[in-house]
Amino acid sequence: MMTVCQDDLARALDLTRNTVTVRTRGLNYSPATHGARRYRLTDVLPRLRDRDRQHVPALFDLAQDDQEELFVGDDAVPRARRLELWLQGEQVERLFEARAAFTNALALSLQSSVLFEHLEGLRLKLVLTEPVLRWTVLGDADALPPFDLWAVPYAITNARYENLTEKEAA
Amino acid sequence: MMAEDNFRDMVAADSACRARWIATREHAQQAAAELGVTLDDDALIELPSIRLAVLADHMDRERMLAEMNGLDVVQKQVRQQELKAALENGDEEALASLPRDRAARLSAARKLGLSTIPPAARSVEDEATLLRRLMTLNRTERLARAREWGLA
Repeated sequence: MMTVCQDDLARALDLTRNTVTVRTRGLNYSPATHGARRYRLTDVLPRLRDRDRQHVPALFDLAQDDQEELFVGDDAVPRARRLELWLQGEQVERLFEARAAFTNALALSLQSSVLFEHLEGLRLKLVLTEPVLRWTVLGDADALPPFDLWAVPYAITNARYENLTEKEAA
Repeated sequence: MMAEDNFRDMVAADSACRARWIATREHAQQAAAELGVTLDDDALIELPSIRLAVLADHMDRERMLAEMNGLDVVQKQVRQQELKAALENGDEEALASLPRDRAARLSAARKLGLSTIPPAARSVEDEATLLRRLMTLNRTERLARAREWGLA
């Protein structure tokens, strides 16, 4: 899971601290060293304006990684939906490809349908994983996971009964 | 080896011999290819039938094939092909002979020329039961257990 602090945002996006504070208002954070708040990169991206998009690669470079490649968290579906709405152009196509590759790999890897009951949620949340996020947003093909080995671990870690019609919390 | 050195000397010294060697070698390489292996000159020269064909102008194809089949490298290739066929047919024992660990299974499958990963030897029902059991575990345990059971 990739996180950024407010300083990272100010630097990468060339914004004042005030602006950054406004942009991150209401977002979940975890406190880190020296009390600096760390925000999930996937929560921050949908808050970026069009003029910020050119700085997105710089933001990825500054982001910290906690090495949790698979688990996307518990409130993942609404977060994934918000991020998906922010994507533009080729990013949308790349996410579609990743979802198709994942679904295909899962189908080839398993004989039973147990995990397929959770497929819709798993497809929706896929973009929140670091490898698929990098591929989708940056077009980084090297980041793509080998789906035939990765699909089952991802699915097993994240499968749960989701409320897919959940509305965003106010 | 004595016999090989003699053989090479004789082939070098006699043009008819050399011609036969070239023809025999080509014939032998084709036969080897049909068995799914490549045999270099050194390997071919060791076969009595090859030497006989070149030096005595007597090609016994049956004998050559029998000798080739006896070679370790050919035996290994035959076993690989049988294993591949058994896996493609879903043979239980063949499936059980592959490594449990999924990544190792994948590279074993690739080496055999299979296009899909053979499932860990179990039925659909068994896999479903195991997956349901996995879902009752907490997340930190799920992946480790899944790997143990050959599911991931």
